[in-house]
Amino acid sequence: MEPAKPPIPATPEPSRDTGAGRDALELEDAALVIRSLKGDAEAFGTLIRRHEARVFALAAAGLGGPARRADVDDCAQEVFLAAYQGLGTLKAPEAFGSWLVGIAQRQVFQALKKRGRNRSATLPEGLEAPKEAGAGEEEAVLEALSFLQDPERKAVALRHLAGESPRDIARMMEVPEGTVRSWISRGLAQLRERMARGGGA
Amino acid sequence: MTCAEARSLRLKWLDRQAGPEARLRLAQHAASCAHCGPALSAQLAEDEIQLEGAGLLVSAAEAARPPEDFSRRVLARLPRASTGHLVPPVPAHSPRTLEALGLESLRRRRWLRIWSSAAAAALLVCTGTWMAGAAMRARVTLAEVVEAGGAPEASRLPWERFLPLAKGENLPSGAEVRTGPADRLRLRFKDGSLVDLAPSSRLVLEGPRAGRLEDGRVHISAAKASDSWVLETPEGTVRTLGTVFSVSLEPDIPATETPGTPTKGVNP
Repeated sequence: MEPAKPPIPATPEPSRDTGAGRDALELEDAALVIRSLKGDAEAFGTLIRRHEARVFALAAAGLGGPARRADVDDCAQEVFLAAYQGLGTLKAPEAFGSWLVGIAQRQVFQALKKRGRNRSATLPEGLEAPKEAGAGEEEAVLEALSFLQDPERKAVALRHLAGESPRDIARMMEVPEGTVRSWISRGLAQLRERMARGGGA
Repeated sequence: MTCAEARSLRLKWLDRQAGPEARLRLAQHAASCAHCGPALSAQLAEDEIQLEGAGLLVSAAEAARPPEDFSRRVLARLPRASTGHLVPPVPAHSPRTLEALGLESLRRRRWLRIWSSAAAAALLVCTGTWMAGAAMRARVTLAEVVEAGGAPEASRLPWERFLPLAKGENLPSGAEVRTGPADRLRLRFKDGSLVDLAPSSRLVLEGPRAGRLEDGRVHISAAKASDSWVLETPEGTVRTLGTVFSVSLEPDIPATETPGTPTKGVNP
């Protein structure tokens, strides 16, 4: 018979606004990582739901407008599959969130490389891939966002696509909160300028 | 609204934790505050640009939202054992070790936070003490002991204890001298003024031509100069340009002054 499992928190209950609240969230992450290491699908599913928003945000911002939603979805799936396979190498389980952001960045880079290969293989030089039918303003914004440099792009994506607080981003990126705020401010000003010029490159 | 409250309210407004009335209050503060008004106005203008940029991302955020079934689809791609459980990833540590590592890491981080705060506080105190000490050590010499009868004493720094005084010693600003019932002390200030402390008296050296009589009696032969010689007492202040005078805090002995020399504002 399987031993009784401790309850899994469905959503982040403790407040993120306090150091203690964030510590509690990280402790919950640590418990979920340890259970996932034993093959507990429910625990890893909870980890996915807790962190999927930031992974989608980073993938959408990194891959840009021409990426189909499916590309972003694929990239995010690859991130979590890689995370599961590499979970045993994570030395500080409470830092799962920061670790996942690193994996997401690597996967976005891989996806961009793959896209570059496919594009050069299928399109004559100088031609862009046709836009997906129904491409809207959001696609143009994501396209403009993808041209920002890191760390501005990452900070803007986590703040305004994933809805993370500047304090949480600062903790994740291990920089002062004021630095994150200035990255966001600079990134948004660049985004606005790029959109005013017509977006894109 | 104070400037600190304005700073805090601006961040709340920027984080959408405060409504449009916050923007109005900030604009009012920017218009009326001489201290932070211009800087706050510039920041508010930048914030407008930032919020405009953030507004562009509202629909993009919707597009970047993960679909409902995302976690289920990821789990479906992970290999499963015949029991239906996921095949565990290859662990670099045993789960027990990992658990210990995780908790230890959290504990370490908390202690690091506590220790770094304590170290910063200690550093601040040490720096403050060192700077205060350096400032005190750098004080100028105000007077020299020309006669010391009995065992008069001086405290050279406010927190230092009283030590015996000897003829020829220099006294810095802020030093306090005192005489016992059988002691006498004569100091010569840099301007040539001579100050005689009667027995059972206490005087603090406050400047090149200034002192504070805390107790007892003092007789001063003030050298002539354009600045006043100022002697403070608990009962009032004596100012003179150049004269010979005595001031006593003892009830039966009145303040005296040698007539014919310029003096102003004698009190008492």
